[in-house]
Amino acid sequence: MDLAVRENTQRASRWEKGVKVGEGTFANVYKGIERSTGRKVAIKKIKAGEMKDGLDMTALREVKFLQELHHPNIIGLLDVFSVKQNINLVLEFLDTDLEAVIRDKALIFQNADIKSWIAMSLRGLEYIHRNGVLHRIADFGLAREFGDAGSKMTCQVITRWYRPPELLFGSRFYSTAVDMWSIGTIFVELILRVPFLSGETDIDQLKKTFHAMGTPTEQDWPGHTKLPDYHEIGSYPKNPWWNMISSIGKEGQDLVKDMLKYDPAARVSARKALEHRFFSSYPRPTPPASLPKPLAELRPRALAPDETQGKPALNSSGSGAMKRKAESPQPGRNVARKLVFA
Amino acid sequence: MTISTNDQPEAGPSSSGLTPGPSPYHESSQFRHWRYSPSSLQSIREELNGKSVEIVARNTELEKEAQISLGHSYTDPPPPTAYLTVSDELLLLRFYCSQITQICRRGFGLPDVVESTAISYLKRFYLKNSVMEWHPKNIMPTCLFLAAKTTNYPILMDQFISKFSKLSPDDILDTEFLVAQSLGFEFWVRSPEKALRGWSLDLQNQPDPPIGLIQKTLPDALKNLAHCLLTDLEFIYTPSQIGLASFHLSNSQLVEDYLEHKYSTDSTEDGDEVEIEKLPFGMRKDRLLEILRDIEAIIEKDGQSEIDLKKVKEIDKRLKNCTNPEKIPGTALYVKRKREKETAEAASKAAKTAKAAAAALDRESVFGSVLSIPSSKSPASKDRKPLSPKVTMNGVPVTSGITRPGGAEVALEDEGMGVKDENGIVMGGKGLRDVGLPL
Repeated sequence: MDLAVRENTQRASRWEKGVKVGEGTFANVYKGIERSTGRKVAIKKIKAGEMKDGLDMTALREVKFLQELHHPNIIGLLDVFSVKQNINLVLEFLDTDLEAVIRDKALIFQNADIKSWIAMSLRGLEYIHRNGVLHRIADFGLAREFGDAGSKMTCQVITRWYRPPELLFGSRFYSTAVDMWSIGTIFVELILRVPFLSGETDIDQLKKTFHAMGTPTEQDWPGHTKLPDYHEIGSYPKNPWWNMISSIGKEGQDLVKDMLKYDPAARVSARKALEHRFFSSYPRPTPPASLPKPLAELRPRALAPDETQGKPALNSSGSGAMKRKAESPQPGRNVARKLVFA
Repeated sequence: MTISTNDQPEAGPSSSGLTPGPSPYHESSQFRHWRYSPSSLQSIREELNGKSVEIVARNTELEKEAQISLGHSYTDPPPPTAYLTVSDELLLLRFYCSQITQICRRGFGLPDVVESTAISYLKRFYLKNSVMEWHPKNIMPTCLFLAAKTTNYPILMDQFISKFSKLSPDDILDTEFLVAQSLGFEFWVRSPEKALRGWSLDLQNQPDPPIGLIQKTLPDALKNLAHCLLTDLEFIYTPSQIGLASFHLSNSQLVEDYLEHKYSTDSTEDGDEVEIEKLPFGMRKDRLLEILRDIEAIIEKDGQSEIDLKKVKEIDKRLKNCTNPEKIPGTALYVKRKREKETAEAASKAAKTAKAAAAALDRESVFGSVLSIPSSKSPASKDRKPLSPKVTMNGVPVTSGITRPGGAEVALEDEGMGVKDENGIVMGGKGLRDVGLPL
């Protein structure tokens, strides 16, 4: 038998696949256990084969990045094996995700809880950025490395509600700042318990953004009128929009404002955000194990297809924070540590 | 992030206590799973080669038997001298690595990252497989196709195929998975090019930086790097060591002046008490220079030397007679194996179906089986519309198979969870499934 086949068989035999907990166009997710230890895991079976262009590129990218990133706040890829033409990813089992938490109206969030979730997300994100990867709020299927200055990237990434204005204006050369905007909108959503900027189309997304925070001027955001898809979108006045999140306290409001700066160059970095006073001021972040968590076990749910433009399925699962997109429903998410946002 | 001890690779020359500690590179799959010492590379290849010779010999014998059983003529297994040696395999591999460069630059105009990644894939593949099992002419295009996807420069299949003569989409699709699997699904290759460009900036980090010289040296250093792709260097050294050696090979003075400056400012004492980790680059300067020279020797020996095309052709010819017949479509053994596989798959499918049927039966046994109504009406309606107790209970006229109480034609069974309603009609029972209640 070929060496690679033998190694694969060995790997596959470590894991036992259990019931299906999620189903999508490109992948199914199953519960599983590690045979030797009984440890719970999630097994994501990527449907391959029969595609004209071979192995699915999104799946390849997800595997590529998860293989390299190891951090307590990023969902762990424990193993990869194949059965026939299917790639199976063995992922750390997490028992809830941030979307389920936000949606469960029976749960009450304290500021310390929100601080804890945001801190975990930022730590995962800081690590990812340090390693030269943009998350683009999705599964790692949309992640990419960025170190090549000057190489063009697509702007059709990130679930619309969390997409920064530079991408909505068609920017092809963007940076880690896109992920910071996304986390800023998720921060607000945690406070308000409804999506902050829920545009129905890309144009509407810009409208809602400017309506909420005022239309940017050249001074707010130098050069934005030169972006490829720039067009004038009304002139909404600036309001002290942060008053609507006053419950988080002044430090929290400040951090959100830093994350939601229009000018990507002025937006706070993950590292700087972690040094923000918000995290060193009272109250202390809730220890992950004590965070609110839905009582009901996550139910099987449909995994949305890869959606780079549609409405978010909001099942962030997984990884570092970000995963607010569809498709990877890790069946579970561990409460707190993994970015639980998964 | 700690690296678990199980994952520690064979210590290569530069990882034996010389690295300054975990960096992003040290977390990479490249460091954890694709670092070897020169001697372990050699023994891996010898083992693969030996095993393949065994397999080819055995399968050629089997092929002979299969041919005989079909009444065909046959060929005798090759004599032992005909098999490829490790160095034959390596030469062929080097040739196909150089082909990737040609195709990337002339055929597709693909960026360097695709080229270097594809070459790494090909070299990694042959640390898990032998040339005698899988011919590199088939694996090379697959590596390139896969690398284009994993580095974000995907090429459509049709367009890709059009650049090769005698290549069909199936040739790629049939081996793409095998390649991905041989790579352990580890697709990120850290190329020394980024490191080299980093050095070109770092070299300016000294008083009176020799900017002009750096600029002049860079293209030549990049050329050295291209030669590295044809060697084992990436399995033995870090990308930054390879990058610096490429500069050093182009202009040793440039690099040594920089190191002189670096070691004179960063380390105060050069007595024995200085902790190694605190030294620039986590090692003494003489050790670093030794590493650079080792790398340069390999570049000159394995990377820059011309590939002997005559020898390549000779090896390729010999390979035709010592390729595993199991892997060659059209051979009797290939057909036989394929049939065996199909039979096994059909058997496992049948077993699966049987298991599913048994499970369904098992489920039914909880509630009883589906109601069977011995109706006088058409058999189709009997099958399709079993009694719905809900309907009868509500007094809605029933269209088939049953009439209201009094004129009941059916003998209902009340096994399982059946209950009688006020009219004596059995509800549920074996038919519970048909009531639409969740099972």
